[in-house]
Amino acid sequence: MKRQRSEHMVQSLFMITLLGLFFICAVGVIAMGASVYQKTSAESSTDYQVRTSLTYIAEKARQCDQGGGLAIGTLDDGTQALLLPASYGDTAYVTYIYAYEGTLRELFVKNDSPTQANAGSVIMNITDMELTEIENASDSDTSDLDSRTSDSDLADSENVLIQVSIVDEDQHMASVLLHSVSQKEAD
Amino acid sequence: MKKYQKQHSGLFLIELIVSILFFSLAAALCLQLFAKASLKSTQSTQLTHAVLIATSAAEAVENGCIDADALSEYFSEASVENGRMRVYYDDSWQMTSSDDGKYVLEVSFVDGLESPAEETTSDITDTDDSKENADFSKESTDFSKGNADFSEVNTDSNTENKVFSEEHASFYEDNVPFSKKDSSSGNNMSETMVTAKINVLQGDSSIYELSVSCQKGRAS
Repeated sequence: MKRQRSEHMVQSLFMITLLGLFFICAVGVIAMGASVYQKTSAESSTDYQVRTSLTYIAEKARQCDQGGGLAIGTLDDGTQALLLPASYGDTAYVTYIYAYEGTLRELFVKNDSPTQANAGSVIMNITDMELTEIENASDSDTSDLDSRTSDSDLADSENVLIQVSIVDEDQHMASVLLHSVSQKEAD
Repeated sequence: MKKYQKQHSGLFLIELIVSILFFSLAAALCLQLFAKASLKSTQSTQLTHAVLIATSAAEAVENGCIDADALSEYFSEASVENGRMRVYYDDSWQMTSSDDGKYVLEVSFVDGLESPAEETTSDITDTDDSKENADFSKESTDFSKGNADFSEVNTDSNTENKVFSEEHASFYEDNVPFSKKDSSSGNNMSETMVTAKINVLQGDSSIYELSVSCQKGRAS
């Protein structure tokens, strides 16, 4: 009688252990799946934010840049913006691309019009954007380049690149350099 | 009664074991998929940053930096050795010293013009060897006419590569050799061109490659 009871207990214990193991594994797999999904989703969102915004700015700069006009400027309220001048007919226009209240915005106005940061159209959400002008310290070495090309066709562009940096939600910064097309290239 | 209890318990045990086996099989498949998803996600992030870095280098080349020394002025942590510029990046793709570097931007310059089609063909062979690298993309850009052709091809498919090669070959034919043919002016384009080979590496494996051909005369 005692032996039968003991056997029954072992069987029950074994089944409960097996069930417990099954439960732990099931929860583990679900937790791992959730973690991978969370990581993938976060990375995908960051990639989207960084890639789309930087690609948009770069393509916009290439599209609008006419003769070395790409510059860093400010709006009326002091917000830093990337300036893309353009002229249609006799009228000069400027496209401002800037970050305002967690969004990337674009404002297209006549050259002398007032520029309010909240007036721009929202392109997408970004955490922050920084614009830096990077000057080549070897500007003075252009004579060296002259000597390398016999019939020198040197352009008149200033040797300046604009670094556009986008800060993502995790405070990681990604940046791209943009060069302004010189007047000669534009012609 | 006892016999019935014993049978019932045995059946339940078998059912549980079968369930666990089925679950293990499903879990193994799921884990495989999770691992692949994670790898793809990492590769996607790497590719995103590699493209941005390579594009930045291409913009600098286009701005007139037609040698490694001039180009290194734009990258604070750059080192130049044997006419080749190297910049190291850490895990979060910030420039760093070589000790902490996980990724490397490598730019080398060759005089003359290199056919993008030839490069792509050789790359197909390379990528065939390694399936892991098959997802990485190759881009060939010709800035010689201020034409930023950022068409991209995924090296997963040889067919796509062939189409890309043909397209690029025709693009190359249409644009660059035009100047080569213009020998009457005595100005051979290939002699005034410099090609920058931009490569973003992780260890020894290439994440992203980009070739930029720039006319020396356009340098400022």
